[in-house]
Amino acid sequence: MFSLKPPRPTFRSYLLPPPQTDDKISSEPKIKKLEPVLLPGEIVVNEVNFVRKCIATDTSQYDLWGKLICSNFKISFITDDPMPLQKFHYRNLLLGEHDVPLTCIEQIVTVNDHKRKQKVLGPNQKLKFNPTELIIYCKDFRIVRFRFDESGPESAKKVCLAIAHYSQPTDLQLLFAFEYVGKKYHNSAHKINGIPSGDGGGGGGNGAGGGSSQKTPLFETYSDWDREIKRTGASGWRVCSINEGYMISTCLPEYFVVPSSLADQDLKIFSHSFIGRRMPLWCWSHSNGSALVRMALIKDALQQRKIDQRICNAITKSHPQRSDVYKSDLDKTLPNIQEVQAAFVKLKQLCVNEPFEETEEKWLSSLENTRWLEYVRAFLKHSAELVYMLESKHLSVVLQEEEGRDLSCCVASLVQVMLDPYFRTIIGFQSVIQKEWVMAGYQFLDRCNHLKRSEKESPLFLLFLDATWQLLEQYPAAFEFSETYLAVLYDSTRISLFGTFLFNSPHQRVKQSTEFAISKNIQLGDEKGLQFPSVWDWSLQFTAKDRTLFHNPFYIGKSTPCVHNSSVKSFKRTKKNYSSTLRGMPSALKNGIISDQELLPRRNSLILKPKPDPPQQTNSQNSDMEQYFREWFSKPVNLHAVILPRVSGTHIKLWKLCYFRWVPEAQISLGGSITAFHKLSLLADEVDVLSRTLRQQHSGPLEACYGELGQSRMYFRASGPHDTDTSGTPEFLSSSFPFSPVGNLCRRSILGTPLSKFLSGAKIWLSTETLANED
Amino acid sequence: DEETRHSLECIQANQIFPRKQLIREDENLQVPFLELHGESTEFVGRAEDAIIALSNYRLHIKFKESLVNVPLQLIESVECRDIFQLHLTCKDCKVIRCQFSTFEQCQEWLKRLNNAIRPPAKIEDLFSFAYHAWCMEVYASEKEQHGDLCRPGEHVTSRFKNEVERMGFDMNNAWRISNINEKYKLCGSYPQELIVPAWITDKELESVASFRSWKRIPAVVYRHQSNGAVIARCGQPEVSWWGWRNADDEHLVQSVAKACASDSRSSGSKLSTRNTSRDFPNGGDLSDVEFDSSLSNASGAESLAIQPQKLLILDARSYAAAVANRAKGGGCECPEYYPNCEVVFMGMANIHSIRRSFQSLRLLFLWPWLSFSLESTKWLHHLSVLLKSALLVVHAVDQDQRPVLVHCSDGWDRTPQIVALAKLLLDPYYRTIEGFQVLVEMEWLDFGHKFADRCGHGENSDDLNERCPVFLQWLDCVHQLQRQFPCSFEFNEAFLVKLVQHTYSCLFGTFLCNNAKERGEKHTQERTCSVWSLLRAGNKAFKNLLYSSQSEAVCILQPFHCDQQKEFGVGYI
Repeated sequence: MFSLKPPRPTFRSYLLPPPQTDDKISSEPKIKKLEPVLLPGEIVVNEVNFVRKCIATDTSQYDLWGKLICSNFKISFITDDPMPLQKFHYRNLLLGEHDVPLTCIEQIVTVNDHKRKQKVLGPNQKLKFNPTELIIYCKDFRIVRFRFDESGPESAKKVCLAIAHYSQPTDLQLLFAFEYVGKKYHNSAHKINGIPSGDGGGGGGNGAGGGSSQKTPLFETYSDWDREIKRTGASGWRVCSINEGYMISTCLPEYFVVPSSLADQDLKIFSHSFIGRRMPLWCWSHSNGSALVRMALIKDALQQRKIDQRICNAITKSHPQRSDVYKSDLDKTLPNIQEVQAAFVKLKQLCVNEPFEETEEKWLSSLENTRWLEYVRAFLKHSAELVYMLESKHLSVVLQEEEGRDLSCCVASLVQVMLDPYFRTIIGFQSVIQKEWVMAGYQFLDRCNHLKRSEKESPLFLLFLDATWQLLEQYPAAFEFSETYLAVLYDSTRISLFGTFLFNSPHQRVKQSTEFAISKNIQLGDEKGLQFPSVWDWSLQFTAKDRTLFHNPFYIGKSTPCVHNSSVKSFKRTKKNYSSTLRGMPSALKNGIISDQELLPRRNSLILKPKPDPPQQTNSQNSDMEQYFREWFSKPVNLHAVILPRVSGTHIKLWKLCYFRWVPEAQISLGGSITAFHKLSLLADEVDVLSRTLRQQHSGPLEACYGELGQSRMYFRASGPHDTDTSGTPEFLSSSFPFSPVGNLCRRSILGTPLSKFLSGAKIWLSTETLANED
Repeated sequence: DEETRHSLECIQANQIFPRKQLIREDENLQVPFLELHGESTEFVGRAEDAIIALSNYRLHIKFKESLVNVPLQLIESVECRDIFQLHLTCKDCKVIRCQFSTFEQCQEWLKRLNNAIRPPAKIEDLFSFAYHAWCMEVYASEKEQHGDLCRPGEHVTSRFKNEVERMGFDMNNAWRISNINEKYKLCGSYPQELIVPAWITDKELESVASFRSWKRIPAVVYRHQSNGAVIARCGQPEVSWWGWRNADDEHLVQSVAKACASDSRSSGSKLSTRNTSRDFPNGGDLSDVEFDSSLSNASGAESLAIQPQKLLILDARSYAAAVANRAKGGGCECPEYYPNCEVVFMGMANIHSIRRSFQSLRLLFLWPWLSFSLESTKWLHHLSVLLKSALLVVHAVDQDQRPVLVHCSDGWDRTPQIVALAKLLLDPYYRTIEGFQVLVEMEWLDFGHKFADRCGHGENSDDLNERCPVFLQWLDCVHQLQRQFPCSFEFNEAFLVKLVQHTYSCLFGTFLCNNAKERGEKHTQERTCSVWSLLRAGNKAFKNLLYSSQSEAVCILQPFHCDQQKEFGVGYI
């Protein structure tokens, strides 16, 4: 009998031409009309046929045939072949399965096997050889590889150059969002205002689907701020409109909130003393009246003291108890953006650029050496300390930072997420991002490096999402959203269709888009700049069904009585304490079992670290804080009030879904926390169905109808009583779900049996570094 | 008749295990805990801000806001530090400190504790015997209830029979149960019933036993239900410097692969099995006959499957360690003598390295948690190697349909770790509470893991060199799997934590002695309670609420990554 087994995988170098062992592909590849799916305003710049997309690194048997195109929005691989070995694909409506948005590209490497040459392609560069292979390193840790063995050498070269050119634009207005929105405006010229799809412009729409009709406040208007003041019950604060038309500062929003006691005239005068004219901005108020405020440093040394005093007095006046102000100098307490960036680069190297198995033995120390977790911990810890000031000491807190638009964004939002359960809902979380990041002038353009030439790249926003994930991990029932939501949100920063994460400031959006509109003859009417689609309009990216994956089945909404909270909470938290020989945690250090809680690591300690700067902080205050934290952790948590992170070494973890989802080796098939998520979703859905049925029993036919219409908020639905048992874990679940690492080519193999892995010891590796050096 | 014997025991209980006189250091002191049956407190005293009490079962320290409650046998050592402080190191990785007001007090308690924690002079000194006897007395009137309380379920007591049936061994053509070890007359550390290829005679087995370490011959312990590939285990071959070989041993190893081939075919088409069913009371070479009969009614493709798959011999040691063992009379299989076999070395560390790793891990808990120093203990690395070895077995059996023979040196430390873990990965039954009990009973207890020596609760088991948390290490691996597959195990983390504690506590008799033979001689089963009476399937406290029983036979894991195992501390702190 002949064997149907595939040819034995042969390990070989990337740099050699692949042996043409595969008989199947030697026959003429199918030529069909392969047409790209294009968005309005999207144009194909270049294309090449007969391209092979590599799926596994050690065998070509799974490779796909198709056409590679480069548009002004994405690179797209169009094929008729079904994706092999992939069990699940989370579909993004804007992007095909094989598409990579241009803003997601990190590095482009072209290779010629025969000449043994490779080159990292920058913009406007020449390519002296015809590439046989193209490797795209993506910012989201994916690696995509194409081979041009059967395609026309010239067109292959052209596509590579086009990709290099279009993914590294020289000007902001060349980002796809402009073309897209311009097209939309043209197409809807007959309409008076904005783009046709109603919620596209306003952008707040739809939440994550599933019934919530609430809109995310964008804080572009006076009324959004006013509502926020009322929502938090802040007295002594007012919305100030001196920056209308960005007359005062180009990096502040048009409307912001200031102490009522400061008149517009005073603010105008003071503003000159602040770096970037970034005067104090109110973020949030505690129900006890303490406020969270952020501001830039005062550059005018002579005036510094006086102005500082005036500002502090004004903030004190706005406090119902006239409490003092606690100032936190973030530049002195937290890592700076370069350090965060360096940590992230190392983390990426660890997750992507090194052979996964080989890092194993040194994994823990390598991970520690990246310092990423340490920085996440530092932000959480510092934010928790500020929570103590606001919550327990009833002090208003002022965040000070040189420009006040980097670290402040992260700390201000973390403090609010910990203190206010509203910000732990989807709408609330989006509103805090609008308020503290988008409107407050976080420089997304530079920090995300959309134009690929910024020295100012830094993943602070990711760090914020990571820190939020740590909280979600520790308090799974406190958040309305899931970790999938956080990961998808992170991905959305790299889709250049949305305006949300595209600019350095709201002013930049207005200025650039007005220029663009004029150049394209778009009538703006009374609009301030073009209205770009908002990321918060999730229906642009995902179907209603897929959006339900954003919902956290653990989440306990406000309407549920409190009894449930404690029981659900204990599900996760007591787990850590049930050693039978130990009940309760000993408080004295010298007696009893040593628990890691008492032993906060040296530099991670909430308590022990001496703080150099704030002069008002005394030792007694330190021990008060220690006491506060100890007491807080000893009590059951009310999930609708403050939540505080545990920051000791074992509690800060690597966000595996985010960083490992494209690593085939790290994928646990039928395992991972998603299986628990699945199971709980079924339970939550069952509860929903039951309570709906109950409501139907109690109400008239009208309401019964309504109940029937109500969609499930869960992605995984409980089966009805007559269905056969479906409670088993679905086959497509894995720890990477809903993402699928199949075809991510940083890897040697997706299939290799352990035998061959263990025994052969063969290693091929392709690292960006070596490539970069060899040009 | 049975009743009289019963009541006789009850009267004796009081006399054999009399209550001890309670010594109070202070008139006002009360015993701060509820005593178990048969437990009697000997000392109650005061430490700084705490009440400290010592019984024949436990040490109890009650602080203001917390308490420490630790079975004496769980304590590995007691030291006095800084004059006033007692420092207790536990076998399950805990470290306890207790501060006293005076030096004298501290010394007095040090003496008492050192007295209490030393290994027993005779096995009856262990608390499980007193506990059982007193339980009997208390429950004499309600015998039925007692039965439930102390005995494991039927699934444990008739495990061998059930398992042979459940795994679907073809007992006609391929396999037979040998009673050669009845009353442990061949091998003291093996169970009495062994599964071997049908045609291998007891005489051959005897010859093989002379060639294998501690007479631990290759015995089949698992059969893949759908493809018939088996896992077998044994001790190392005694090759020694002289390079001995044993024809019967070579024949037996070959026969395992052959039996698999005929077995898997028979399970594939039941009809042909029935046609060719034969009886082999004492075995007999039938390998040639087999081929003929099958060819007649099998298709060409099937006949190819008759070729025995290449057997994988998995030596848990490194090649160097295996060769070094030849100096002590051991060694490893020479590939030339074992055709159609492949020998693979896993490089797993021996008990001494594991012990050292565990000790440095325990030290970690004294100082702030640093991932770097966790790494330097290599504990996670050892777990990872163990998982890899098990996975290798799983892939060989499940994907490649190959039989596997696992051994290390003696075959009672690393071998049960690998085999039991592989079975756990292969078969969802072992992930239920009942199945897990069966797994522990069979791979660990029946095949002679030396619990008494490794845990240090055997009679005069003072040899610290013999101690090693082998079983605990395995349970940690199970815990890692629990983390990776939150819905795949019927039991929860608490179940494992309790199991660790009672491996050492000696409240139950399950883990006493070094092997089944000794347990039989000491009548532990009749005189102690089983740990499974506590860790039973009906106990809600140990159920994983997320468990969903699944039909998938195999779950393939991704065990490479240490990071997956990082959450180690949780269960132990």
